[in-house]
Amino acid sequence: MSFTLFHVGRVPVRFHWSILLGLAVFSGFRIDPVGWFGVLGLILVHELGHALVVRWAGAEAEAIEFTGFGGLCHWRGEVSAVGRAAIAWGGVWGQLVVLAVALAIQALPEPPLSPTALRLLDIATSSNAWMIALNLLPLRPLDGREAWALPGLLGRAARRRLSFYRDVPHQPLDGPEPDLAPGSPHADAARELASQLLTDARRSEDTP
Amino acid sequence: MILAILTTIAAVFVALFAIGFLTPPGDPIAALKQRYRVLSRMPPAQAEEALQERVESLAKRFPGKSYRWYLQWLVTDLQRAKR
Repeated sequence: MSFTLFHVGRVPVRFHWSILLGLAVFSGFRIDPVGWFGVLGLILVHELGHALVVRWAGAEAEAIEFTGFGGLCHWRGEVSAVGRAAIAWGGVWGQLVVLAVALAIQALPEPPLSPTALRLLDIATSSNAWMIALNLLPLRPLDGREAWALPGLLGRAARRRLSFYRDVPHQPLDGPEPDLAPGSPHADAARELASQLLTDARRSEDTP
Repeated sequence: MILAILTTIAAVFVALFAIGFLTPPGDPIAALKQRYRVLSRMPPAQAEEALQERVESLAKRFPGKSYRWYLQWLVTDLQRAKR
């Protein structure tokens, strides 16, 4: 049972009743409107981060939902393995932006902040960092379950790209025309290179 | 504490990236062919022949796809048939 409170872009932001329970647990069952506001803001940034990466990956964000365990970004569409892992990172990337801004404010010599703002700053730094750490644990249903596939996939992609450039011969373009008559060493090398390029192209086409 | 959390995340990221970079890629085509052989329960030579025929037939039905796409299609089809 959830209700739509507002929209961000065309994405509805819904609240599930269990978010009240989650906020109560977060504040130690105390009345803490500032703390609740800060946590809701962090969850919203986190889910908007997911939604932005969903859009970047070519899929569509359907809704953002606040629940007792945090939030959910509902999306649909076909994305690659890299896209799926990047979507899982999207929330953390959003939180890291908040963390960077908050740390910059904290680093000011005399931050002109009220007690309320200081409390929000504490949530944007300490609570935020702990939320990031918790969220990246490789356990379902946390983001870390899918997010940690990303570095490996990027490493494999980098290896493929590097091997492609390494295999291309560095021959001066204005040098003499190589002899490509059948049976010549240049013809064999050219055939081998063409075969390698074809294999690389096929592999890159085949890799999701 | 914040620095420790961020450093740990960055270190794990870099380590996993390095593992992905240094691990030689497997051959997905060979893996799919092997999977097809196992699922088809035919002798290797016969399975290879049947596979080529079915890939050619698929290529006529769905032109312009990659060789891996055809293999994946056949393996998925066999898996579905086994259920």
